[in-house]
Amino acid sequence: MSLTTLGNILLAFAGVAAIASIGSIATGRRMRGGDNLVDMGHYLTYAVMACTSLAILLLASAFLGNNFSLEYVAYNHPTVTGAWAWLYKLSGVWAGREGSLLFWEWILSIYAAVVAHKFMKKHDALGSTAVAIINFVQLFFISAMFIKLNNPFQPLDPSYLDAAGKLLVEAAMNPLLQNPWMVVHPPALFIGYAGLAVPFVFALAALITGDTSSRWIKDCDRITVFSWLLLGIGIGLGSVWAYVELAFGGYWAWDPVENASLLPWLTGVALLHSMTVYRRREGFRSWTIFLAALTFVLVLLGTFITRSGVVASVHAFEQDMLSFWLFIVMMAGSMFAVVVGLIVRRKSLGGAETFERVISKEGSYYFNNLLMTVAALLVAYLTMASAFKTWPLAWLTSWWLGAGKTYGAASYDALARPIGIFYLFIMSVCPMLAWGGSEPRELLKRLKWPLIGAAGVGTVLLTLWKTSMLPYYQSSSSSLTSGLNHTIAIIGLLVAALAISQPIYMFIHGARARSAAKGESFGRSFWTIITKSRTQSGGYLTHLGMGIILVGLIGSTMYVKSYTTALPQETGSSLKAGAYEFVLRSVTQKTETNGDEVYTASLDVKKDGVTERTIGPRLVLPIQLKSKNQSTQKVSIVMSPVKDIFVSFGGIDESGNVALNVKFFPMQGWVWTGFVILILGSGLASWPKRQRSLA
Amino acid sequence: MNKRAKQRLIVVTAIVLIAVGVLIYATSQGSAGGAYQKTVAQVAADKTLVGEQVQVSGPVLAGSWKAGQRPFVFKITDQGKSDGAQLEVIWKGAVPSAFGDGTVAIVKGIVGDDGALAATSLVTQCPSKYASATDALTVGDMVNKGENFLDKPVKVTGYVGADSVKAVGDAERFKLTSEIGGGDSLSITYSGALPDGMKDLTKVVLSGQLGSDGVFTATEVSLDQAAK
Repeated sequence: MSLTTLGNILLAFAGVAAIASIGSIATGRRMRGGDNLVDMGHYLTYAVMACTSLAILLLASAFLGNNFSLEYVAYNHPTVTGAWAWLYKLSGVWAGREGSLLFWEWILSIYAAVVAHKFMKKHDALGSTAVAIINFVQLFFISAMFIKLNNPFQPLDPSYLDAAGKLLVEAAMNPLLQNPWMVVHPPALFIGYAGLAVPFVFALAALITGDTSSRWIKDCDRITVFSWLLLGIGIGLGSVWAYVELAFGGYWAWDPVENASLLPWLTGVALLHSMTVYRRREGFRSWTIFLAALTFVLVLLGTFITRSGVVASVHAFEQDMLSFWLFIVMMAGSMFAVVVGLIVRRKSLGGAETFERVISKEGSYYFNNLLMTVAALLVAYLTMASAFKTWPLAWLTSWWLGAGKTYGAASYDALARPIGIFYLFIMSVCPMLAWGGSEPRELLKRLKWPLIGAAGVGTVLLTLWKTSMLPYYQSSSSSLTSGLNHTIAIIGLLVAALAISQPIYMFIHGARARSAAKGESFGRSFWTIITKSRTQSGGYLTHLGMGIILVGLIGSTMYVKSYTTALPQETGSSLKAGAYEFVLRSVTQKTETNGDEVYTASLDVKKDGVTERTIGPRLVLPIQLKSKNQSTQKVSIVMSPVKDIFVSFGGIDESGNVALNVKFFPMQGWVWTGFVILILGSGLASWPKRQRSLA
Repeated sequence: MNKRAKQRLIVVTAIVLIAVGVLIYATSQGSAGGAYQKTVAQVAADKTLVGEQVQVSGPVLAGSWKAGQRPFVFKITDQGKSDGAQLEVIWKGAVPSAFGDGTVAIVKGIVGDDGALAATSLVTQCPSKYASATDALTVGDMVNKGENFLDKPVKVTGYVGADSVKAVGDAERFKLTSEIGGGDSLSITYSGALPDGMKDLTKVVLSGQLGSDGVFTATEVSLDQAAK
């Protein structure tokens, strides 16, 4: 039996099992004594997981064994050799469109099995309904894979293979994907994406069964935080890759594919926080359910944008209208189902909270939801706008504002900076607000120490602004724009100061209060707070990370200075860049064992006349790309706490000169540091609770 | 929730939304505003685009650029139409990875009076496939199993059809046959210069892609080494 047949049979079995599961649960729930049928539905969910696991195993083994009888393997296999080649071969499974859909579905089937296991034999209406719905989502992905262009098990035309099984057409995985960051980045993202289907599934189940109490939140909030965390890790890894591998110098370009992953992350933040209010105060119910649906729809949109080429090329549809409509119907259908549910159940969604004041904890959560929803919709709109005149839905969208236009980083930055800074201000202030709000006098009393701390941190940050960021400002055409930019930067740094000092204050204040009350040492109290109140401590740590990231973002995106030059190819010729001098030592050429040609420019980096280090940025001509004069660059990055120096070597030009580009990124390290703290904080917050009964 | 708080909430929400609206409007004016997606041919033909911000993408024309030049100047054409309209691009920044002949460059900028584009952004599109076949496919493969090779870069070998060679600009440049003087026949378009020594019935090796209309668009034509 060929791999093609076997693979498609496995997919078919998975689909049948999913349908059977939905049927069993639906029937069993309606019947008297239908409990066994419902259990069967749960078991069938395990069967779906088994089939998709076997399918993934099949594809993975084809990669590991260089079995090119599958077209997907032929076009996505890596050319890397050596000890780690097997890992890159495995990564071929998710490197291309068809494989990534299968991978997505496999991860989803694991989540589905986890949910099915959790409610196995419990005969719980909500749990079983959730299992049925998650199988419906799986069915969507499985059926998408039966469209030829999406099927990972298509056979390669035999004339492409010679008698020995060797490929005649030498298509393979792009060399830019053959590096460690790109191996881990997609799996992290997919685990995040697939997991964010779970809150949607439970929200819809709650609407269907009519049980709109907070129990569905308790059932799925750990999975939601975990998925959001993995999504964040995936996004971060992608940025690191962009910074290190792509020589444009930067880590976020508001590219459609990047935006696709950011959208559910943004609404995911709002969702997590709304879930807290739902769980603790039985409030924000409609918001939470809506956000769960929106997040899931954005996950689908993200998958759609990344894998269909809808934004990159308007001609993508002509090839695959069926996939297009399948996705659109699934997205619209999911949102429609939830909206109908919200209307039908509106009476029981009233909620117990009384909204007394705008300036209160619940008020700030409201603005959290509002801003994140607006931000996600804006980013989605700007990303999709270029397709609005030409895609199949043009009859609806071609007259919309900006339809047909493409928006670059400048557009997104202009919007993201003010909105983002305002948002982080709310983030910083929220933990200090009380439920139900407080009298202004009381509020000021609470804010006193955090504001004092913020003033201290703010002074440090403004000093850093003056010494480490301002010198690198590349002034724009008008002084009005420059003035505006500096104003935004300074306001941003002050907000960052509050974002940093506030969590530190909460930790210190909390530990002191506890140690006074319990008679413990400060250190012991501090440790107990971190390990026992994980959700709260994790939250503070995450906010602290965001504040640090904000400082990094301001420096590394608004104060970048770039120097481009062509140095004469003689030892001693140099580029002066501020206090630095880059002196050429030599340019050497070497052919690697795999045939790649590598040119290395060796440079001394001098600061104030003193040589600090020697760097060697490289230009690589991979053997596969030689005929097209295409090259990749391995840049040199010199890291320090207040800036990164980014040096790229663009080769030797016709006059024999060395093409060099030097970029200064102030506060770049703060972005990565803040990101690590963000991950630690979210990880801490998502650590499972041992007891679930305590509210 | 109580009525006063609800009213206040609505007011504050409205303020936030209006502020965002103003921000969106302010952004849409000027270079941070959007750019129209246009083809090279459209930019060349449409004079109303002068002074407007456009985004154009297309493969880099071989021979139109010099490494290390500052500002960096190159030309792009529309995909598959290397003999058609060209767009000159002037770029002041660093040249990105993967730049080369035939790489698709996505440029954004303002069209100048001279029709050249002063680029404010330049990115190269990740090449998803690249091929150089070690053994070439036959004309028979293209004609009979063509649907498997659609839009995939391949190498084909065959014989130049008798009296089939035409000048550049016509839809079909020449025919490729599977046997000398007969057999299956494949229509070839090619906008480059034909190699010296290529005559009727010569054996040649082509690189290119088969389109859904059954015409093979060649990017390279060379004489078969073995025929020397």
